[in-house]
Amino acid sequence: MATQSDNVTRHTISFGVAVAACSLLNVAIVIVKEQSKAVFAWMQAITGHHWLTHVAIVLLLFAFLGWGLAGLGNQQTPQTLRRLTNSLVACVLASLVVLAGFYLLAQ
Amino acid sequence: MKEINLMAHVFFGVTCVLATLWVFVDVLNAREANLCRIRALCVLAAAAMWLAMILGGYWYVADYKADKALILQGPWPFAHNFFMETKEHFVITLLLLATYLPIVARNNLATHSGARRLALCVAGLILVVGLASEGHGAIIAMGVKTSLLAHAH
Repeated sequence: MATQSDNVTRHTISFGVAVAACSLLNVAIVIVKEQSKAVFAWMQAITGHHWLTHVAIVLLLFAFLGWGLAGLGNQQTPQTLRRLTNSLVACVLASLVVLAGFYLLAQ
Repeated sequence: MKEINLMAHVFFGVTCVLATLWVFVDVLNAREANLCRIRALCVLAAAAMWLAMILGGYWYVADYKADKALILQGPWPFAHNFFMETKEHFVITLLLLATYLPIVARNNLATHSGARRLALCVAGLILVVGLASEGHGAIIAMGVKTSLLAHAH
């Protein structure tokens, strides 16, 4: 039952990388917009609300990376999926810790 | 209307968490017979998360200003300064994870141990972040309530 029968779909890899990268980008945007009034004002001006612009940037990059990387092909080694899983979990957890820490320090 | 929107936001958030919990348990016992159910539940979790995000996002952009002002004048300003500020940003990651779950479930989780491990990790992260979102929402609501009570006395 617990065997490695074949490769996973290329979208599994590409969108997994996209989730990991975008979770870090999400926090980077938070820090930049909270530190720079000019960036905050620019984000506010684009859609009328900084949060909408923030969500749009992250979702666009997620779609771009997910479909873009999938188009590059599907070269997988036995370690690819394990590395992806570990990286994804690490990036998401790191982004949550940094986000919480940033707002705790900003209090 | 504003209250119904907010309750629907919570309803879809809880639906996402419950569907993901079901996915997590089903993936632990993944076999050919339950793959269709796992995939359907993953789509349900993702759809519920998108609806929760759209409804919550609309409420945040259109209606939250008055609540924010109340919270900041009340005894629990951290309900906005920490809990809302973190929630409004980590739900973006939650949306990405919930969108990714059906993509992972397209693999044969019954035979592919690596894909099964990835699905469990993604579902686990959704559960943790989803429950944290629910808790944050409760604290934000409590921030409004404590402010109103403080002004009433």
